[in-house]
Amino acid sequence: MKIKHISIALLLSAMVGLQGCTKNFDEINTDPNKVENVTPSALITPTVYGMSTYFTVRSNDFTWEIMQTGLANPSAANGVHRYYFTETSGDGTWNTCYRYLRNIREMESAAATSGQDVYKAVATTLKAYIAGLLTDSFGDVPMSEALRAEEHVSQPKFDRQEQIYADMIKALETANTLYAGEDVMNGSDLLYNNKKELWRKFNNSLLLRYYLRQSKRIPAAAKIKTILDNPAQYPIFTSNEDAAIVKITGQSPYDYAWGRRQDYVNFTAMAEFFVDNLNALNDPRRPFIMTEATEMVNGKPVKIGYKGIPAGHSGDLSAYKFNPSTPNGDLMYPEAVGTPIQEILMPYSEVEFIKAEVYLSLGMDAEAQTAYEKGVRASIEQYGGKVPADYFANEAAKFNGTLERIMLQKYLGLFMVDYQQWFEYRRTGYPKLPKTPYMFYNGVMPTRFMYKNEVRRFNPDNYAKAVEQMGGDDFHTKVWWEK
Amino acid sequence: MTSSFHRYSGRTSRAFLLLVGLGFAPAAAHSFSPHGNKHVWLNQQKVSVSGTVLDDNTHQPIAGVTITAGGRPLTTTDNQGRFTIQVDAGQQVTFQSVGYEPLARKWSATTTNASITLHSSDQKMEEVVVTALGIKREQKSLGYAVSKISGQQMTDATPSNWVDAMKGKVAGLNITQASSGPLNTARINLRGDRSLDPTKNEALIVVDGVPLVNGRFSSGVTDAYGAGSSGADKDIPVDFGNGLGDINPDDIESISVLKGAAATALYGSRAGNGALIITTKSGKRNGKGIGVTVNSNSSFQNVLKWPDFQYEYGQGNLERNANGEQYYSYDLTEDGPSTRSTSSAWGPKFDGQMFFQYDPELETTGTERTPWVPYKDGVKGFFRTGATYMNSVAFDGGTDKFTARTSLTHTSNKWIMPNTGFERLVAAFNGSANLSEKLKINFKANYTNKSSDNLPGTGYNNQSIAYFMIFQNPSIDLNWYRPRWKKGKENLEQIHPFSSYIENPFIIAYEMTNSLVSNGIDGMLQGIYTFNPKWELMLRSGINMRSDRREQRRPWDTANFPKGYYKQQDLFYMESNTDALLSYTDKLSEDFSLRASLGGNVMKRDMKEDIGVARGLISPGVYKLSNALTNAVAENKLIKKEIQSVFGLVNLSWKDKIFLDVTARNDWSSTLPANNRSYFYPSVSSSFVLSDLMPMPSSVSFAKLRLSWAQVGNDADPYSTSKYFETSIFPGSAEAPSVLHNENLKPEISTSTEAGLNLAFLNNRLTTDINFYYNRSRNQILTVPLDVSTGFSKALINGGLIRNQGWELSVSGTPVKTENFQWTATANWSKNDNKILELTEGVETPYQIIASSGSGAAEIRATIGGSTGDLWGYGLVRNEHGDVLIDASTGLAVRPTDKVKIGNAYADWRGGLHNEFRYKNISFSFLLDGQYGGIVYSQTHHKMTEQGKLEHTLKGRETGFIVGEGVVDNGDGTYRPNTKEVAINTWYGDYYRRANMETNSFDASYLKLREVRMEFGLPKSLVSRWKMNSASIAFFGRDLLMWSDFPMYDPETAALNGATIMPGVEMGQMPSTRTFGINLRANF
Repeated sequence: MKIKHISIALLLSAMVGLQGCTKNFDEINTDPNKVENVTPSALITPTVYGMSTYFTVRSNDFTWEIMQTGLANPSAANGVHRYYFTETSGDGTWNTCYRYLRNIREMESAAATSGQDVYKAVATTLKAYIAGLLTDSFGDVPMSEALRAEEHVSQPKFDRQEQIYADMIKALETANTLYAGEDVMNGSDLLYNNKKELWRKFNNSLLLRYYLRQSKRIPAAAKIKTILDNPAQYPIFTSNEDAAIVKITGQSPYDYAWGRRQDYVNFTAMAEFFVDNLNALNDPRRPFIMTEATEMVNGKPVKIGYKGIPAGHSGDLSAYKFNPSTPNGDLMYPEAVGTPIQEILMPYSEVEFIKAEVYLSLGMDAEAQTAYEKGVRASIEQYGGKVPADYFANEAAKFNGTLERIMLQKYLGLFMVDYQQWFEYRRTGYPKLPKTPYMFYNGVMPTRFMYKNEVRRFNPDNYAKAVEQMGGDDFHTKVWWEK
Repeated sequence: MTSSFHRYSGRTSRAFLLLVGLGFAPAAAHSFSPHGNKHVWLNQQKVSVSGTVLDDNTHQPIAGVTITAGGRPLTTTDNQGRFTIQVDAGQQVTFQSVGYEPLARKWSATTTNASITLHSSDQKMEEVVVTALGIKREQKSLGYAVSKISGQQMTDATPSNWVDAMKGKVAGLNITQASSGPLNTARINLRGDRSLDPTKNEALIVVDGVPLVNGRFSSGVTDAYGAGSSGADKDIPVDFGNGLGDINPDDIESISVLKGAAATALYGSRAGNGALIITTKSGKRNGKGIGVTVNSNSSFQNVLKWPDFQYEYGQGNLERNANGEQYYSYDLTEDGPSTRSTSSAWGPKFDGQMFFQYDPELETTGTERTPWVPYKDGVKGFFRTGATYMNSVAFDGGTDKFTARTSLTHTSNKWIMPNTGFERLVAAFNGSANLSEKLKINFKANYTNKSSDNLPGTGYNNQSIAYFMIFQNPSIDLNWYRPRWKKGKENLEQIHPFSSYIENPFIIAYEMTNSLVSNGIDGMLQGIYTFNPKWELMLRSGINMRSDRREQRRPWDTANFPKGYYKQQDLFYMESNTDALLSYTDKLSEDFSLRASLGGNVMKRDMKEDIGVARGLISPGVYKLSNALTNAVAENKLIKKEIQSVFGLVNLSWKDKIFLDVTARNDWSSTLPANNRSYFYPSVSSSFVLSDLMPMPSSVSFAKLRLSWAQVGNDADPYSTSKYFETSIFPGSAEAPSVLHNENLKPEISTSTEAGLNLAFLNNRLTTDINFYYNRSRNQILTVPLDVSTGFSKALINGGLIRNQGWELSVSGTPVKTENFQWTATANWSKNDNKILELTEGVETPYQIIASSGSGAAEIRATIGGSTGDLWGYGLVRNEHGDVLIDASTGLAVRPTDKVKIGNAYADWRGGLHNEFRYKNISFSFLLDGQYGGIVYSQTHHKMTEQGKLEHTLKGRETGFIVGEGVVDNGDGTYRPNTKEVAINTWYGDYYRRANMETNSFDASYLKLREVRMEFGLPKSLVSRWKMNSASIAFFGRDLLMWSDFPMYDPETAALNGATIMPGVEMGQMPSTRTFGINLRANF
C-alpha cells in the first residue's frame, strides 16, 4: 500500500506541476515568423506594386472598354463596352483600395511612433492617391471611420465626397510642407527609390488633379494658378522622369501585371474610336500600343495599317473582313522577360494638360498652347517615341483653343492610367464617344459603380444613409463633383 | 433555395441499382437453415479426443482456447494449440477464444487428430476492441459505437494507398480524395463535418496509442484552379502524401473506428471528429521458435473510365474558306490563314479530306496536304499500365518473457502517368518484455523512407496533365509532342505547336517534376507496472517525426514560367506525446466491479518549413538555387504548440450486464489566451446487455443497448491571439494583416449524444448494429468575413452552431455454414444530416464562404439552415414554368445576377455490401459500395464542352448553329419560344461557361465493384512437406466496375486546394484506376 500512496502522490504532484508549466505558453504562442511592428517604409513597396498592378489590369479590363480604347474580341453580348455593368463590377476596386489603405493606416501609425515626418507625408500622398480613386469610383465612401475594426468600429459611416475632397486637399497641402523638412527617406521604395523631392512633386501633382476634379463645384483655376506660379513652394512634375511611373522588370517578385503574355494579348481587339483618332494624328504612339490589322488577300494576310473594330457593336462582326489591331504584348509583357515595363500612377503629361485647361479657362491661350504641346510631347516620349517635326502641323493635332482638343490629347495621354479617362469624361464630356444602339441604358454611360453588395449587409444603417445623401446607389447616380 | 438540377439521366434508376445491390439482407434472412441438432443421444459412452486448434486465416495454432462441455470448462489449449479431452460421445464441445467465433463440435468416437479451425470474429459480441489510450475492452461493455476492421481486410485487395481499403467497410466512414495521383491523400471523415473550417473535420489517427502526424503540408499553392493567375507562384498543388498513407497495411493487426466523441474524449480535442485506432502486429508466443511470413503482392492498374470524347471533328473554330467550307490550315497556306492556335475542336469533320497539317519533321507546316484523321490515342495513349509491387517479410516469435515482431516492406509504384510513382521502405519493430512479474515493457519503432522522382501536379493549370487532357485536340497526334524540345533548342524552346497555352505533355511528365524524399520515424516506449492485482501504472512516451525534402522544377519556355522556376521545400514535423495512467481495478461487491484511472498527457508539436525559391533561372535546365535569375528567395515558417492534459475515467459494471463509463478531461492549450487556456469536458456512456437482463425470444442470442453523451473541447490555431504583420515577397517590406486577431478566443465545444442497439440472432448467425447520433458543435473558432472598409477582410471569432445527426446500420450474417462451405455477408449503411443552426452571434451574415474554387465559380457557402456542403454558383434563369430564359438579341441563356444553391456535395447516404464464400481452402469475396446523392461540379466538363471535345457537343455540328431550348420574355408576362440561331462554339462556350455551375454539375451517385478476391490456400499436405505453416495465393481486383452518371472520370473526387480538400468540386481531375493483382503469402 505504501507504493500506492507514493505513486498517487507522485502523480498528483506531476499534475499540479503540469499547470505550473503553462507559464511558457505565452512564449510558445508568440509567432516566431512574423513581426509585430514595422518601420513605415516597409509598407511602401507592397502598396505601390499592388495598386499599380491591379489598376493597370483594370485599365485594360474596364477603362479600355468603357472609353472605347479596346474591347474583348469576340464579344457576342454584354461587356463593359456596351455599358454592361453588374452589381459586382466595383467589388475589386473597393477591395483593393481598402486593402492598401490598410497598409497606409499602419504606415501612418508607424511614422507617428517613430516621429518620421517624411513618412507621414508619403502616407498622405499615397492615401490621397488611393482615396481619390475610391471616391471617384463610388462617391461617398467610409473614410474618417474606416479601417478602425481594431478600435471596435465595425460599421464605419460614409463620408460625403465633398468632405473627402476637402480632407484630401488639406492633407496634401500639409504633406507638401512636411516634405520640405529635414527628414530623409531610407527604406524600400519601389516608386522613387527614396528621392523625397520626387514624392513631393507627386504629392503636389495630385493636388492639381484633385483641385481640377472638383472644379465644377468649387472654383479651382485661381488656386491651381497659385501653385503653378510658385514652383519653389509647390514643386510639381516637370518631366517624364518625375512622373509617378512604376518600372516593373517581370522578374520575381516584380512580376508583370498579367500571369501570362497571352492573357494580355489574346481575345482583345483595339477599338475603332481610339485607333481612328491616333490615325488622324498619324501618331507615333501606335506601334508601341498595338499591332497592325491584317486582311486576307489571295489567301494571305496582308498588313493594312492600324484598324480597330467599333465598341458596342451588334455582336455580329461578319461584315468586318479584316483582323483588327490587337494589343502589342511588348508594352505590358515583353517576350524577353526582364525588360522593364511601365505601370502608371500619374503621368507627367496629365500635369501639362491640367495646366493647359486652367490657362485656357483663364484666357491665357499662349500658355495653354505651350502646355498642350508639352503634354503631347511628354506622352509620346513616355513610350520612347519621337515626336515628328510636323506633328503639330496636322490640323487634327494643332492646338485650336478648344477644351475638346486638350481633352482628346489628355484622353490619349491617360491610356493605361487606371480609371482617369473615365473620370475625366464624366467631368468634361470629352472626348465625344460614339454611341451605338447595342449599348445598354440607351447609350448613357454609367457614372459610378454600385457599392459592394456585402456592405449592405455588414453596414446596413450607414449604407442607407449614404444612399440617401448620394441620391441613390445606381450606376447612373452622379457623384458630388459631377453634379 | 433550390434550383432544378441538370443531369444526364434520372436519379431514380441509380437509387434502384443501389438498393438492389444492397438489398441482400431480407433475402439472406430467408436462407437460414434451422439451427441445432434435436437428436437425443442415449449412449453415454466416453470418448477421448485430441487435436489442434488453428486460426482459419493464418492456420496458426491458437493457444489458450477454452474448451467446455455441458457448460463445464474442461481445459485450455497449450502453446501449440493442442488439447486432449474426455467427453461423452455425442456431447456438444465448445471451443472459445477471445476474438474468435465460438465453435461447437461433437464426437461419437475417440479421435486423435482432430483439427479445429476457429474463425476470427468481425463484429461479434465477445470481441475485444482497442479503445482510447490503447485500453482493450470487451465490445459488450462499450456504450458507444466502435467498428473494427481486421488487418486482413486491409490486405485483401491491397491498394497503393491502404486507406482506400477502408472504403465501404465501415458505416459512417467517409473518405474523400482529389484524384491527385499515386499517393492520393485522403480526407477521412466520420459522421459528417462538424466545423465550418474545412480543415478541422478529419478523424484522428492513433497508432499503438500514439497520435499520428496525419497533416498534409501544402506544396505552397492554395487553389486547384490556377490558370492565368498572376503573382509570384503560378503553380499547381502537388499531392506529396501524408503520414497516414505510409502505414504498412501488412503490419496492421486491426483498426478500431471510434466514431463518436464519447469514444474519444480521452484523446482530447483532436479526436473530436472520431478516431481510427490502429494496432500493429506484435510478436506471438507460438513456442515454435521464429515465425516467418513472406508476402508478395503485385498489382497492375489501368484507367477505369474515360469521358466520352468525340472523334468526329478536329481542331478549329468554325473557320471557313472562300467557298464557305470549313477548312484547316496549320499555318498560312494556299488553303487559307492559320487555324492552329485555337484549343477548340470546332473544326472540320473528319471526312477523308486532306489539309496542310503540322509536320513533326519540319516542326512546322507540312509541304504536302495530309489526311485529316482523328487520333484516338491523343489523350488515352499518354497513359500506361501502372504497377505496384509490395514485398514484405516479417519475423515474429517469443518466449514467455519476451516477444517481438519485426518486418520489412518494400513498395514500388509506377503510376499510370509516365514518369510518376514512388518507392517506399518501411522497417518496423515491435517488442514486448516481461522484465518481472510486475513490470512489462513495450517498445515500438518504425522507420519509413519514401521517395519519388516525380509526383503529378494536380488541378487546373498549365503544368497539370489534366489541363493537357482538356486542351488536346482529336486531330493531333500525341507522338508529335514526343521530342519535347525543338531541334537544337534543347531546354530553350518546347514543342507545343498549337495553342501556346498548352504545355508539351512529355515536358510536364519528364521535366516539370515534383520530387520527394521523406524520412519518418515513429517510436513508442511503454512501461506497465503492476503493483498488485488492483493497482497498475502505465507510462508511455511516443514520438512521431517526419522530414520531407521536396523539389519542384519548371523549365524555361513554359506558359507560366518563361524563365523557369525551381523550388525547394524542406519540412520537419515532430510531435511527442507523454502519458501517465494510474489504474485501479477492483470488485466492489459480488455484483459490482470497478476500474478507475487517472492520467495525464503532455503533447508537444514542432513544425518547421524552409522554402527556397528561384523565380526564374539564369541557365535553363539547371535546378539550383544559385542559378536564380534574381536572388533566390528564402521563406521559412516555424510553428509550435503544446497541450497539457489531466484526465480521469471510471468504468463500473454490474454483473457484467450493465456498464457505465464516466470520463473527464481538462486541457491547457498554448494556443488560447491565458484566461481561456483551460477547458474541461466530460462524457458518460452506458451499455445494457438486454439479453442478460430480461427474457428474450430464443432466436435472439444477444441484445445490447448503448447510450452515451459526451463533450469535447477544441483549441485554436497557433498565433491567433495577437497582431502580426504579413510577410511580403518584397525585400524590406511587410503588409498589414488581413485577419483581425482575437485576444479573447474561447475553446470550441461540441456535444454529442448517441444511442445504439446491438442484436444477434440464431446463435450469432445474424448480427445487427443500429446507431443514432446527434451532435452539436458550438463556439467554433472561425474566421468570418468583414467588409474590408473596416480595415480587415476577416476576423477570428467564436461562433456558429452546427448539428450533425444520422443513422448507421450494419448487418452481418452467415446464411450458409456447413463443414466445408460458408457464406458470410456484411452490409453497412449510413446517413448523415448536416445542418447549420447559427452562424455568428450578433453579426448579420446571411452566408459565409467556406471554400471556393474555379475563380469563384464554385463556392461552399454556409447559410443558416443550410449545410456545410452546400454548393453555390450561378445557374440558369427560368420563368415560372421552369423554361430557361433566352436573351432575344443574342440567343444565349440569360445570366442571373445572384448565385443560388445548386446542390450539396454530401451524399444522402452511403452503403457497402461484402460477401465472402469459403469452400475448404478456397475463398471468394467481393465488396460493392456506393453513395446516393450529392453533386460534383466539374471544371473539366465545362472546359471540354466549351472546346467541343465531348460527344454531347456533336449536336448542331452539321449546321454550325444551335437554337437554344428556352423561351424569350415578351416583356408583358408572356413568353415565346426562342428561335435565334447561335454559332455552336458560342453556344456551348456560353451555356456551359465556367461560372455556370448548374450546367456543369452532376449527380455524384455511384456504385462500385470495389473489391473482388479469390484465394486458394495450399493443401495441408503440400504445406507441411515444404515445412510451412500455411501458404496461399490470391487474385484480386479493385474498382473493377463503376456505375455512375458522372460524365468525367470518377465521381469520387474533390479539389486539392493546397492542403485543403474541397468536396463537391472536380478541378482538373486525373483518371482513376482499376487494379488487378496477385498476392502470394507463405508462413513458416
